[in-house]
Amino acid sequence: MFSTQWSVHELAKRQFLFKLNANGPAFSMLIVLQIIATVFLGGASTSTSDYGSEPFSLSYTTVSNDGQVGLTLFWALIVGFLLTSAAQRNESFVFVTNRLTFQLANFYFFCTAALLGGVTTVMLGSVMKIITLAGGHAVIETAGLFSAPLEFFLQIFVMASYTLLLMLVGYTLGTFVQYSRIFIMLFALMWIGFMQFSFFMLGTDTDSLLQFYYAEPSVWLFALKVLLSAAALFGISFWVTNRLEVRNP
Amino acid sequence: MPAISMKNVTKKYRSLTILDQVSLNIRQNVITGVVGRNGAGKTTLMKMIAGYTKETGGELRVFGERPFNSLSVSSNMIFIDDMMNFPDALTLGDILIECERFYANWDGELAKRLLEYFYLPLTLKHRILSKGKRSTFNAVVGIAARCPLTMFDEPITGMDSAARRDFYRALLKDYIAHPRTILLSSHHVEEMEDLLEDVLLIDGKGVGFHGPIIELQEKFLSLQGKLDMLEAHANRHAVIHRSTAGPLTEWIVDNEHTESEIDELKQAGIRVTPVSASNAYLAMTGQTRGGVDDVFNAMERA
Repeated sequence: MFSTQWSVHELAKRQFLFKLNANGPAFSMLIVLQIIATVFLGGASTSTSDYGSEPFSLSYTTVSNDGQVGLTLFWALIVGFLLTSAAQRNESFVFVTNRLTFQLANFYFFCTAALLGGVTTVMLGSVMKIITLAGGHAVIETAGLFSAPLEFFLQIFVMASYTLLLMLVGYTLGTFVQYSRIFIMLFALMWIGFMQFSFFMLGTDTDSLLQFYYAEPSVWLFALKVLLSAAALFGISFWVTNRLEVRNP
Repeated sequence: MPAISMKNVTKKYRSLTILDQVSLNIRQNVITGVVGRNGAGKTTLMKMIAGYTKETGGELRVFGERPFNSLSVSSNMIFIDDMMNFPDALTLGDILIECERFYANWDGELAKRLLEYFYLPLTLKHRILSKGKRSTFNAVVGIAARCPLTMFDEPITGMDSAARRDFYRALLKDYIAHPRTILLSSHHVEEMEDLLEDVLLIDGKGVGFHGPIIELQEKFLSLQGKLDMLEAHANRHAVIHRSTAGPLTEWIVDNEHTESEIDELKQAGIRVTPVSASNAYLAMTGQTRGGVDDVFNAMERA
């Protein structure tokens, strides 16, 4: 009865390629943010300490790319949220799709963007080193591609994982908001409650949520935690997406 | 097998019922005009067929499958209207490339030639187009996609009369070369009369009329004459619409008269003429001239 039949996989792939073309500005935004972070925030995450007095003194500087990391994660949250907008949904549904291929294409897009975010952010760590070297300092301890290749790729993996998780968090929140505007208020209340709660607990609770990922010493357990969290967020957001009507007044 | 079949389909937005218990079959490879007044539910009906929105009740099938979340229906369908969103980052040329990615029967050569004819350079961005140019571009996409089910929801919004004529002509030519099921909604029945095979009139949350346009053309008779003569002679069948212009009164009545009855009317000095499909449509949906006068008259009296 149908003259054209596509598989879910094939259409998710095509929707993904379409999304890459349509959302080019999201990547330029990342580049701009990272340049801003390097130029303006480079100093903020750099601290210099002096020890001793004349004639012997030691001065050392800690250089980090925390500024770039922070802005990349912020970018991830925004991009995740933006991809749930009604305009994005309408654009996808102009072409061939259903809600499953739409969600899969978004997920592929997030994976690509997270990988790009991870690689560029870690690379910017190297840029920071070059800037430091250019300042006449000697680099004592660092994990670089050649000195510690495994650690270098681990950094990329961890950064990409955080970026992906934050995109999925933004996406899931955005999906709920698309379903009903009531969730804006609900999320705001939850956030305030969360802040209050952790205030009374002297910040231990906020720590424990971050510690769940941040303090995990095993790479494999960390990967498993990220995988399970991503799967949970994907499942929750799809449960909502699958009900969303397109171009509903 | 019909291209689209509906059994008691209802669509509600919260408590507001837009379509109530609609049952109909749209024939395959036929151009059907979807007509009705503003807010009658034409767009709601088409969005439901496109699988954008979910029917509240009843059974809706497109090529035998429920359209909501159906990849098969989506791959064989295109829905064109003036609210189509294309990404801001893409130029018209980029959009054509995306179309090629998604539509199996896409004719890129035809699309390019048509855009060239309508003076739409491929380097332009979609969002900077004027209302008429945007409608023209969307319509070209709809024609060149050659989807087995092609739906145009008021495609001529903002187009000038030359563009409208060209669009209807291009659609007809491509339809003859590549037959497909086409739904075309518009308020200008008079412009579409030569194009349409079937007419679907949505009125009062349901189907007001559905059938070949010839049936609509033969459905009514126009009687013109003095009011007292009409009242004396033309009282056998339902009067759909009354209007007065100068000394003459026009009644549009059901065309169920026998030949002798028509002869009798003619002998009484009443002019009997057929009613065009577009006038029949206007009469059936109460789009009579001067109706809104009553509102202002009532306000003056108050």
